[in-house]
Amino acid sequence: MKEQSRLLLQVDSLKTILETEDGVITPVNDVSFSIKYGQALGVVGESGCGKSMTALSIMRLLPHPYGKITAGSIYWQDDNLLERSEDAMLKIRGKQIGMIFQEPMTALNPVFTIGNQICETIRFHQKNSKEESRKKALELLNLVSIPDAEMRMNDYPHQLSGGMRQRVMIAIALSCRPQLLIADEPTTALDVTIQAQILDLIQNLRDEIGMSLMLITHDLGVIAETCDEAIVMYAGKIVEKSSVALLFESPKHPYTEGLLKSIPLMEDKAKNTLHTIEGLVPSLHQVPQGCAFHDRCPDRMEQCRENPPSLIALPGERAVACFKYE
Amino acid sequence: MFSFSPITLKRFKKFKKIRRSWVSLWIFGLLIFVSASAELIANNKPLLIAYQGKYYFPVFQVYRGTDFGKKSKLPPNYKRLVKSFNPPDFAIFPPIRWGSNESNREVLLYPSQPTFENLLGTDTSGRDVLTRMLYGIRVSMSFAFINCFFAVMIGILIGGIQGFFGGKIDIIGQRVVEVWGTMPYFFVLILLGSLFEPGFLVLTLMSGVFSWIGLSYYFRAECLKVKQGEFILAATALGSGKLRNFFTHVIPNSLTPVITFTPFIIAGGVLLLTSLDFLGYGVQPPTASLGELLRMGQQNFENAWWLVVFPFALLVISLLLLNFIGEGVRNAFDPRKG
Amino acid sequence: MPLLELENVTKHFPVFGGVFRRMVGKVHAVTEVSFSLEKGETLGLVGESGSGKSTLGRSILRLSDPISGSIRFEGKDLVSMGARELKHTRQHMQMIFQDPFSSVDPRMTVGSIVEEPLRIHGIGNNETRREKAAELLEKVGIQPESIRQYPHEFSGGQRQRIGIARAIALKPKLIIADEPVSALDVSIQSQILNLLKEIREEMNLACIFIAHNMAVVKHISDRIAVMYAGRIVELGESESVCQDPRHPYTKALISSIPVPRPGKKNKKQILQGDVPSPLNPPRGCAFHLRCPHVEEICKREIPPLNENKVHPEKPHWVACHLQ
Repeated sequence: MKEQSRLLLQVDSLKTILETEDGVITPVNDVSFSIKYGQALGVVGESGCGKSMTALSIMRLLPHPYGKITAGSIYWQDDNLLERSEDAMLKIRGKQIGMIFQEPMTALNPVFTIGNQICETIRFHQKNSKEESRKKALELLNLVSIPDAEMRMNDYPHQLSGGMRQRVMIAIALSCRPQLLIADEPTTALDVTIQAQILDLIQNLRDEIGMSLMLITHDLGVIAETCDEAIVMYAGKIVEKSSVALLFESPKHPYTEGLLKSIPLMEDKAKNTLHTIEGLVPSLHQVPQGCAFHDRCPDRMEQCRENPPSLIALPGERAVACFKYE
Repeated sequence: MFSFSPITLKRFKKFKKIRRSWVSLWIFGLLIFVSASAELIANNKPLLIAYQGKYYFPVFQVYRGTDFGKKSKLPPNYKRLVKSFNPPDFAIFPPIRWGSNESNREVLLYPSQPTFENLLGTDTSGRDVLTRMLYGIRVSMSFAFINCFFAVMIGILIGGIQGFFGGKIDIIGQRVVEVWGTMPYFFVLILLGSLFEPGFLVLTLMSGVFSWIGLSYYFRAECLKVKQGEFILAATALGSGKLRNFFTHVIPNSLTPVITFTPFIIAGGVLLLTSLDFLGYGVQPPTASLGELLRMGQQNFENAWWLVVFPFALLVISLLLLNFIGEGVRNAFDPRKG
Repeated sequence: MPLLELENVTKHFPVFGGVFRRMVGKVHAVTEVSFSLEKGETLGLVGESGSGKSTLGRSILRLSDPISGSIRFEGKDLVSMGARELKHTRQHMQMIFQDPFSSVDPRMTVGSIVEEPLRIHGIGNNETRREKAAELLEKVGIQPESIRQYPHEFSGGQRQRIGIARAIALKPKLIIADEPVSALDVSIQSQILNLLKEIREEMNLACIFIAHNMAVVKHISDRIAVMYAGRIVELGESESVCQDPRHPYTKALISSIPVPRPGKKNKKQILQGDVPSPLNPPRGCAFHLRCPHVEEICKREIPPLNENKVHPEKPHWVACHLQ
């Protein structure tokens, strides 16, 4: 905790393009943010807002050869990941930055036991002996609270439930004690009660090993319960950046505001008409001119249609991309 | 009105982007066109005769010798006839002046080498190899296409029945198909061919009966998969019956493997007929065929290289083209290749 | 007479295995479910994956045969109904599916998708059907001009609207909505929920709303049934189930929902263990392996769904030995 204020990851004006059959899209457009040591950053947005592509850009795991980073920098501690060779990235991926995905079944290799897969990761990065790595794998499975870990080591992925698989994925991601865990929709495919378990687990692990977290989700509730800072993305851009407490207390961007209001809550009176955001989630193939949100925005002004707003700093170390605050 | 669904259009665009296959399709189309119009390209009858102010079209119509002032009521030998013409009478011949069964009587030894007269030489009966190849590939292509048509029909029918009913009928049907598939069909065809000397259509039908198996596997599997789709359930919930579901939803969505399979079935047909002809159990002589030419070549390998090289080259090229097209179609239909 | 009445509906799938495809087990998808639904009423069916909620929804439309027990729609038993009568009855019951991408035929235009139910039941001619389709599309908020477009040109939310238009084409009395919003983006989810509510009120539809998200269900339902491992464990008015849940599972389910309010983290009650496999449900109360209050009796006996008499004015049933 001594380095609390230093930056672990700093992404600056990142721009990623993706070639698709129907043209080139820009899923990450001028995105800047940073993660401090021990901090949990939530990235929230709807489908096609570029949140996953941001994570893949950081890991340099963009689909080859369609995806390319065309501008910006990604500083991991003191070196720019974009200047690193592929070989050097191998040492960062998994070892310093771990990543878990939405669908743990497809991320695990179906023909190897989970023990095997964890051991392999450990040995790849740490060159341990077989016994040592097995011992370590067992420790990890215990760490992620898998019951009967010894027995589970010999199971194949399909023999585990979704929640258990996600635990295994977390164990693999944590095998080298990374300083940052990037979790891309880690609980979306899981049941609510299992989601609560996994989020609780991630929380405990953060406290225990002091790692930072970048949690990508579409669920504002998950962000509220897990993160310290949050960024809201819309059509490839950051529209709001704030501490979680302030974001939920007083959302500034009309999109964030609308999003928060449109979630049905348990304490709502039933039968009310829900608040809605009009229109459709924009496709990255047809991002509206000006502010991408202007055609759905209840507070739109003339200039919103013409120019894209840039992030404006607000009191409380937060920022919002909206002309209302100029 | 019939219109292509956007899925089809997208696949077509994707296919067009695969250069090799797109070019192959064009060349193949040209090949089909040329062989389909073989009579206009290689013939011993003129395309047009102007005789005493009247026009005649011998390629399209049978004329008697009497029409041209001869005594014989049989169709004339045009080459000889034309030599006796005086201006203003004239005749326009096709680019290659050989009929498919016409021997070159002016050379002494058959098979004879490529010359200006016979660009690719003659076969053992003195017939022009280029002409025979042109007519031969036409026979091969018609055989392959009709064979493919039978195969697709039977494959869809049997695969569809299995896919529609599923369960026991599917399992029993599958075993029957497997047993059928283990039949050494090539030998069966040879056997039948030597016993009955079948005509062209019977031969295609017979080979069609053996060519559908691979296709039915895929069509069945696709049907079973599509049948599980949620939109089938949705149609059922709307009140649509099993049979209606099958015809309106399952079949149109299961045709992908049929289309991706077709070029390969056609290539298989070409090869099959050539093999049968090579062994002498295919189409009846004197019909021209690549297999027959190859057999002649094999028998005269030492003194008639042209009988081997040219027909073989044509066979390889057409198979190659079909495989390139097939590869392109398969890739265009593959959803994994964005 | 209630519109729909279920009595001891049970659906067990056989599982085949081995070389001879003998039955080696049964998936206990739905076990002894009973409830009734009045005209115009909405019942929310909540549960996690494998709780049998979707199977139950499909069983009501007899999309998954065979079922034991009885399902009476307007007094007529669907379970024993013949094919012809079933087709006729299905006009009055429609379904909305979860995945708007796979529940429409990708090779059909939007117009013919919406027209399909009319075609199936031979209503109108080509022209009137076309008109009707345009009208329906407009009603669900899709431009009627898009009748000639194909589903892949639409986003998930719009496709779900198309699915809704198809479901209401025959003016049904009952709609079964199977997770209609869980595949959608948050900002679209509320649009679809509002649309469903609007249409339900306008057409006086009864609705069975199946979802895993308690807050969504609460928002749209008059009553809520909570399912666990194929059985209803709690059933009651939506307010009373949500404000005063009686079954420990319902309590956990409610507390597991992530709340978009930071600082509420600690109250969470986290269940241990996994959702039980429907292939091999635990003996006794299916929840006893994860229940924080488990007692001896829970391990032996299956608790019946009893009426809870705490609030006599609000009927509320709970299947728990400890009530």
